[in-house]
Amino acid sequence: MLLKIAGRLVRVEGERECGLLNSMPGFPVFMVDEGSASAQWTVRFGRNVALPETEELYSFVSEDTGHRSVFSRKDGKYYYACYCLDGGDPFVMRYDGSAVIDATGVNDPSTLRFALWMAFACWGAGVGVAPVHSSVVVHRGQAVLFLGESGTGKSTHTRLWLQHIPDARLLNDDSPILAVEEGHVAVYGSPWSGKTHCYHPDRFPLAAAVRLSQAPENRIRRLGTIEAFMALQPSFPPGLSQDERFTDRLVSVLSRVISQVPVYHLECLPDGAAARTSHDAIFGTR
Amino acid sequence: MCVFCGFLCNFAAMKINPVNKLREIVGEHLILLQGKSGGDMSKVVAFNETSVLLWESLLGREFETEDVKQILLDNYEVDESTAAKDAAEWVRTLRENDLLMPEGGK
Repeated sequence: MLLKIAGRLVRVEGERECGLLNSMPGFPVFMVDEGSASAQWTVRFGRNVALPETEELYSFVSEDTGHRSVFSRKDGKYYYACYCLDGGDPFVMRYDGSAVIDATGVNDPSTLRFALWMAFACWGAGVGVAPVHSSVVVHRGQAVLFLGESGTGKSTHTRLWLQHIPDARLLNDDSPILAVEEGHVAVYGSPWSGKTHCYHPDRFPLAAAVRLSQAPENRIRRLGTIEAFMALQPSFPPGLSQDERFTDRLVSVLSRVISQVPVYHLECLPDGAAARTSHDAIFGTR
Repeated sequence: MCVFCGFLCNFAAMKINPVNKLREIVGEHLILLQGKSGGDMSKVVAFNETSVLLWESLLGREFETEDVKQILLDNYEVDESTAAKDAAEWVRTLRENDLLMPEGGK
């Protein structure tokens, strides 16, 4: 199966996994004709991938499934393991720095979805593309990223844009992809959009990034270089930012973003005036 | 540990912890403090030109606050007491942000 994610072709191998992807929301719109071109990277499911003793970089337990995910490294190779509640063998995926990522078989849609996100994050960092935890709207042909901790109101704020700003539409509600292409910063939709089913493969130039925090009034401020870095960096994949090699790559993407695109901090209420405040700062009051 | 008093005083030899990497971002220099990520703003220590000079001069070797002061005196037109004060301040910043090897030294 061939998918085109962030303009890059990925081949996914594994009969059961491809069958699952076909039936999962999000992925079909990214599928392309097998004969269209050769893939830039590959994920092979159903392989025999052993999990050695590794150094853990990041782990978390999914609220939805109870599965425990662990991202770790050993000898320049990176491992993503997912432990189900039943205590059986974990799902294991290995990134060795090449464009071919091997994984064991998986029959659980949420694990498959996250594994592909993790695989994309690992491979993409090396070619200047990175998923970024954010909600993104498109306005006047340009994308605006809204970032913040979970529960800050990213989705609420983008919904306010859709209601109060003419010609605004949602591109992705959880994990759009930031790309540095020929020196320019762009945003793509992705198959990963959280609880909102909003899946578009389209690409838009990035107009601005806005970090949100809840406040008793609406106020926006443009951030200087260091604050912009501090505002953006936590929204990149958390496992990767514990590793120097990935951090180097993400910092180079971030540097490009900060040098080209304004980054703001918006303190806001969940109201229409908040959407207009961020809109006016970015696009002017026209 | 200080060879004279046995505590972490100004005579104690220190060493920069090399896990911390000085990064340049659009002309600014900073050290990203690794902590819990995925949450709020990341934590960084921003370095000005002087701090960058000190960091690059002292990285990889043992030093004392006196060495920091000497680098300041050699490179900037400052009097001795200002240099001593700035050196102590710089060392304190490194220590407060865990940028030195544990035990103040080796």
